[in-house]
Amino acid sequence: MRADRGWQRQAAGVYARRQILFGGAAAGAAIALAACGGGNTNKNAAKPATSAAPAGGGNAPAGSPRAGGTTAPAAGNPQYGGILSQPIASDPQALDIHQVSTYVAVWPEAPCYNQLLQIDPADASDAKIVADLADSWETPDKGLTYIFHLHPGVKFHDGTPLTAEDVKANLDWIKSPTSKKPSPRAGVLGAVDSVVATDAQTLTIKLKQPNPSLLSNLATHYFAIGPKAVIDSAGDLGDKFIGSGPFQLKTYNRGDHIELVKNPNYWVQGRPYLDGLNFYIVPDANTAFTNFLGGQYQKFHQILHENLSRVKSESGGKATYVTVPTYTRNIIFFNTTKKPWDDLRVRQAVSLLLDRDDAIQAIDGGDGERGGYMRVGGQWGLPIEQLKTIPGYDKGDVNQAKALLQQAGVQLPIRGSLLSRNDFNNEYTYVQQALAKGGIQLDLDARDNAAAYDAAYKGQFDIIAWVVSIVLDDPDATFAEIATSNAVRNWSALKDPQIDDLYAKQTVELDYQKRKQLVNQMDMRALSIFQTVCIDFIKYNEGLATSVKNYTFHGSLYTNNRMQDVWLTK
Amino acid sequence: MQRYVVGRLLAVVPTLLGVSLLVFAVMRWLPGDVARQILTGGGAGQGVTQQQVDQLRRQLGLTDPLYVQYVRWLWGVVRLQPGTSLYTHQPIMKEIGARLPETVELALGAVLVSLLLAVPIGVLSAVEQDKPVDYVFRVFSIGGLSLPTFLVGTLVIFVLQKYFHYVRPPGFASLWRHPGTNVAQMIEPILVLGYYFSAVLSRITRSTMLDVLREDYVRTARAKGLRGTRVVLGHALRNALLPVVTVAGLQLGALLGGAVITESVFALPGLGRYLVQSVTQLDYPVTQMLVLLSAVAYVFINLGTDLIYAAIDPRIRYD
Repeated sequence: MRADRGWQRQAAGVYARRQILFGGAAAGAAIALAACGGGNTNKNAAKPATSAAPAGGGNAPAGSPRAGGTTAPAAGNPQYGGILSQPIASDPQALDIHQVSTYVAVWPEAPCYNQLLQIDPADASDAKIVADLADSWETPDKGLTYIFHLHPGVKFHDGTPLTAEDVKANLDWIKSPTSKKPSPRAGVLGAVDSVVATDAQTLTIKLKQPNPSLLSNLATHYFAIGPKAVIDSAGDLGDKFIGSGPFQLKTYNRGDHIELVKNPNYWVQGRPYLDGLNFYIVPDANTAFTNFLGGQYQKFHQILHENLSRVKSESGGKATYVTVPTYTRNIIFFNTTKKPWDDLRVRQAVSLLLDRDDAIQAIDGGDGERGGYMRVGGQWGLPIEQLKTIPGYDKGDVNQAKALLQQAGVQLPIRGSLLSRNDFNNEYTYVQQALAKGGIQLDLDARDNAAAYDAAYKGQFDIIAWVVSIVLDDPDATFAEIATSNAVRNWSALKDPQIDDLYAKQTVELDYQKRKQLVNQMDMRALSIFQTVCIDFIKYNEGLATSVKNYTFHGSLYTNNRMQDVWLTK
Repeated sequence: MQRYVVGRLLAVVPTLLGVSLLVFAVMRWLPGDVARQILTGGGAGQGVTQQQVDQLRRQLGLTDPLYVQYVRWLWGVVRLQPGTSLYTHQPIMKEIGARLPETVELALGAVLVSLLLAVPIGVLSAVEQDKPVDYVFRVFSIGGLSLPTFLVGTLVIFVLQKYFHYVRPPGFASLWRHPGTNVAQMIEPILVLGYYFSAVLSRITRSTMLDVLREDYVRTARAKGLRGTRVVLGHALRNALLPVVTVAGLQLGALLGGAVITESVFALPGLGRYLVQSVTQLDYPVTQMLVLLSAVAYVFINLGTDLIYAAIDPRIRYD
């Protein structure tokens, strides 16, 4: 049941028009930003999906719209040339994008590659999947098979043609690396039964069971496509960033910088606009921020709230910032293998002691928002009023918390350890002080990254105060990370059959509305048993030079970093 | 002299063996799971399973007995093939080689600046003891001692950016290929670090000069009618230099191991930052090799310092 081509053309036409309107709005927003010179909220963040393929599945039979590139003009009056520089905190952990798990690796590597699909660069909410290497795709048997039709004439940086065999080799490698290399996302392709290159331009993915999250995952930069020949010879994607993307690697000086230059033979006509991208490795955030204000960098990740007022004044109006809702949250885990944390009333008391408004101010300087397991305002989040029915998620209440502790029969003060990571100091300081008001006195155990993870996995804590970042606004990614019985980071060790059952149902549900209902039920169930307590979802303040045009910050750090359609004013 | 040098070099072997054993043991003692770190990048690790972690641990040879791991690593070091980084899979010597030029330039530059500042300041302070010049230099030196380099460095960057709209060129360019850019990039960190070390050296120079200036032979030299400059520079300073050389040598050794804070503040790609990164990432072979190299640097610098003693003071012989 291949999707009707006429429908596809029509959809593409509608989409292109929307893109123009959308792009115009984005340009208007950018101008407004430049005019006021101050920060702004990412206006696009809450926009609903408008294309044929909502992320997270939905029951989109097919898709084809292409963002930017071949079908949609860039907003404003694009100019060619210029180098966009930005700091990253450390070297990439590896030069093969399939092996990495952090944004510092994804950002410099992603511009060199394409994926089968991509999250629409203009959609800050990461809700809309559009074409990338695949011009169109379809699922003839209700999500058990996906057929992708590749764009013809795509070539890698080394001049070799990109075919379905290359895509197959990459997906096969990610699912089961042939070499002795780590593949952190092998589990994401767990539902994939086989990948077949039907012909040079057609790829078929067969699944063991429907997996609506598959398309979202394929659209992140992690699922970049490199040459099969490189995988065959090097055992992975190698260290030259050879892909089909708009930029290619020129130099990488370890510990210093990564320089990407324009791919002159890029398959998307007229792109990229920029001559290159530079990524400077700057571990000290103050230095990086000062250099951003001084104009050395055009993009800066995560400006501290207290520094926001400096952006306009010290950059001479040449920089601004955007406040972006994210899928990163401040969260509390309980060691439910120990008393009294196995008692639901005690966990509920903790939730009531953490006044969300106070917490958002104290931890994030006001740059946060209430949320459950899924982000409120995202594709899958609970309505805010429903979320607020869970004790603590509306207002804090110390007296009610104390009453609950009394009912639970615990002896006050409760003593225990509060595990956290050194750099989560705002969060653990607030948590320690807030819980002390209710008679829960925790000794701080703040460790560096490796040691903190070690203690968390070994259950060496009473409570954990942590910052959890999820790649996408995706229920599978979220619940399989922290909430199901087998979740990688179910540090609370609370195994709830109802959560598992709802998870199993929603993970195969292709109908968006039905799935959302299941996800909301699962969210409510996990919240109501206080498997964890979500303090807030963090909003990042992302810095951008006013000379940067046609770039939209996304909630995910792992999408929209190809910079294909971005341009700089002279 | 030759026998002395050979003897000193032979004595290096047990020292380095001890260091290697110590750093190997300490790294294994640190809490954390390097395999999980690699798979998750220290972050979320979506989809990473315990099975994957265990498999990677086996692949990295971390499930072998510790003595097997130690001997395997040591044998690699002896052959100058200390293996690859657990993270980047790049040969460790290549990784170190990429960072060495910056570290050497920063270390030599900072020590040179510190000597150029400290010796004149120390001598003048001693000669002008308790006079205004001495007070001014005392404030200068105490400032260098009490202000941490990260603060001075951050202030320098901030003040230059805010009031002079000057920002260093980012990154690190080769001194030989892009000398102009390199100087613009390195001048600030070298001066900041040089200032810090000059504070220590100038105080030592001053105090030893004060001791020496009270010696009988200085008094005799003055009594014989020698000019003050000749007495100070020709007789007193030469004798006061031994402790200065010792401390400068120790400083150079420390810097060759990496000036962690200065490198971080100025975003320089040196060995210090690499060492910290490798420790936090539990990149065992990298940390072990860097510590071992630092020990080697100390040993050779100490040896060089001893030989300089003999050049400064003819009474010292190593026969």
